[in-house]
Amino acid sequence: MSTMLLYVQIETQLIYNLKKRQMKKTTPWAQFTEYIQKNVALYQFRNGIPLTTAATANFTRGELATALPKIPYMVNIILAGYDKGTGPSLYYIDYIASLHKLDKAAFGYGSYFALSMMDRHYRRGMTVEEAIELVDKCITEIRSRLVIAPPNFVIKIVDKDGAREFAWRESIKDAPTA
Amino acid sequence: MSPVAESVPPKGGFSFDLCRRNEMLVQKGLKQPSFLKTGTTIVGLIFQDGVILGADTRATEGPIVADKNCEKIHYMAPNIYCCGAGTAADTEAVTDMVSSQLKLHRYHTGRESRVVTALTLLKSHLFSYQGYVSAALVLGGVDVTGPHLHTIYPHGSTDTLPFATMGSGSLAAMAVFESKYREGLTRDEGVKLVAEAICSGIFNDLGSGSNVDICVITKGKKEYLRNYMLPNPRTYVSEKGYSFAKKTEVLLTKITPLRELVEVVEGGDAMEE
Amino acid sequence: MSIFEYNGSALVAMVGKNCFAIASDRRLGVQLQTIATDFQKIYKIHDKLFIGLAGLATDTQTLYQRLVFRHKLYQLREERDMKPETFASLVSALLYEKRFGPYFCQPVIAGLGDEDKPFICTMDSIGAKELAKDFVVAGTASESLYGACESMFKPDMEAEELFETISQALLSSVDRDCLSGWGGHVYLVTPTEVTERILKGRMD
Repeated sequence: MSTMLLYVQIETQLIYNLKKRQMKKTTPWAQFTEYIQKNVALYQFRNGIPLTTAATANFTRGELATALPKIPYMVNIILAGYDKGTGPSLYYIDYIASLHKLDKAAFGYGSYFALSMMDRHYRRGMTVEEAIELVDKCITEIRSRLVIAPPNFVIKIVDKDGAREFAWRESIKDAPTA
Repeated sequence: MSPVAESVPPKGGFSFDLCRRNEMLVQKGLKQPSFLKTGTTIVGLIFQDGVILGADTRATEGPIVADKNCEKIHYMAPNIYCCGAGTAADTEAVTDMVSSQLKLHRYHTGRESRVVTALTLLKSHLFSYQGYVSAALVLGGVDVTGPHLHTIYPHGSTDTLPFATMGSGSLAAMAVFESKYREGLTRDEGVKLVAEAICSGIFNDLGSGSNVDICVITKGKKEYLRNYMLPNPRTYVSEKGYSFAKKTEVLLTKITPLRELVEVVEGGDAMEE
Repeated sequence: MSIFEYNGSALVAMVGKNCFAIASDRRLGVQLQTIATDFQKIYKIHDKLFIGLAGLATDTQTLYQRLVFRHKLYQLREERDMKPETFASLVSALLYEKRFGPYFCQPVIAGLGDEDKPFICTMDSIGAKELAKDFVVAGTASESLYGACESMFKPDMEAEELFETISQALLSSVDRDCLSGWGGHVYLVTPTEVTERILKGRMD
């Protein structure tokens, strides 16, 4: 059983769950992630086995690279997944379709703060509680240092039990979701 | 899912599908790269029994010398050679392409290629690309109608001349030809004059440098004199070589032994049907 | 900033006595921000043929995938591995096809050919082949690599000396380039074995 999560830019705080669509958007990057989402689902229907995270990452890169000359999607992607055997993995795909497997990743203006925070505090083999604490540290840092910080953040967890929304960190309750 | 056909061997011709993406990257403030050029001196002349072609051996990328000893005299046919100046990839590709067309033509007709055939193929290709394929060429050869020398410009115009120069060092080389060329030169006089013209390019033009390549084509015979002159040898190499005070720190080593190739013995036990 | 400087890279290949070495740095950056320090820039085509790809990371990945695809087709059709010279022509043809909308990629090809004769070659982004007998370089650190290799290279080095020379040339060159470095990756190929080494480098 594998579950994947597309994390699309910190500021826009849109996270797509590949198994269950949560928001419907018509921006190019939402179109693109939806397209990937549907194709991954289609693969599972056709073949009876889900695509691994690595395969999804490579598929996404391939699609982005071939689409790029025609439609510039301008989408930065962080792809997280959990596979039986391989365990959790995280992939970095930027808007020009460079793919790389990483331990920690961030995009957008907030990434400067988030990355330095993670460089300082991240270590391999952290527990979920420790990881959430680190994510909260990043959010606090972005809120206090970034002038154009977005009001709300959502934290999602991908592990052996699937991908799920963990919590919202909202500073404005009724803010429109992106 | 995307069509697999994208990666299948193409039939030929240029592909423009990355142009829009590259345009987008340029608009984001990233500059287009420069290509490998042969800021060059290439020359050719007709002597009493044939044609002599000459070239320097420097390839540049902006102000950097990318190759100190490259080959700029390209093979077209056994009796035809061609010097190339301009964007290295274009001169290489255009001469390779025409040379294969000439070979097919020889198989078809069973006759030796003519210089005008090569000339027409080259100029029609270059003309159709409006000068965007930037190859400036000096084409020389000896065929059934005698020795021929032509220059071809990137836009597809051509000249037929007794002596010719091309590339960034063309003025320096032409100065030598204008003062010393005459009709009915012997082979040795011709080679000497070509070498002198190239040397004038090597020493007076910054885009040209290193060594002199010469190709002498006469009726039924050719001599490719690669590195005919080496006027710029290394002056700075230490006899003892370089020794390192401290060894490089290696974090990880992985050694993979390679499989021995297995000899397949012909005529062994035949497989049962 | 040039497109070639977007991700940053340093590549070098050297010839020794019946062997060759190909080395790269390990940084993946986006302009001045470092994304990763374990990025692969040298790829194996077959046991005795390697290609290093410098330039825009996305194009290096796309080009590598296309090259592997074409090499596998060749293996199936011909039942043998490609010779380095043939492979160089293939790379050149793929690049020149996109003459007017190029891949922003500068390849370095190194391999052992017939009778284990070493072959090295580099190209510009539109496939102008540059064959050399001694060493070839590519990437954002190419200017300093030219200097380092010109002074450190000796003809006919044995494998271990070749490794030391290429490593020192690489590490000293990337110290003069902001966009590459963060360790090195060296492949040393002799007729009998391939040695892969990760080098420790400066982390600034």
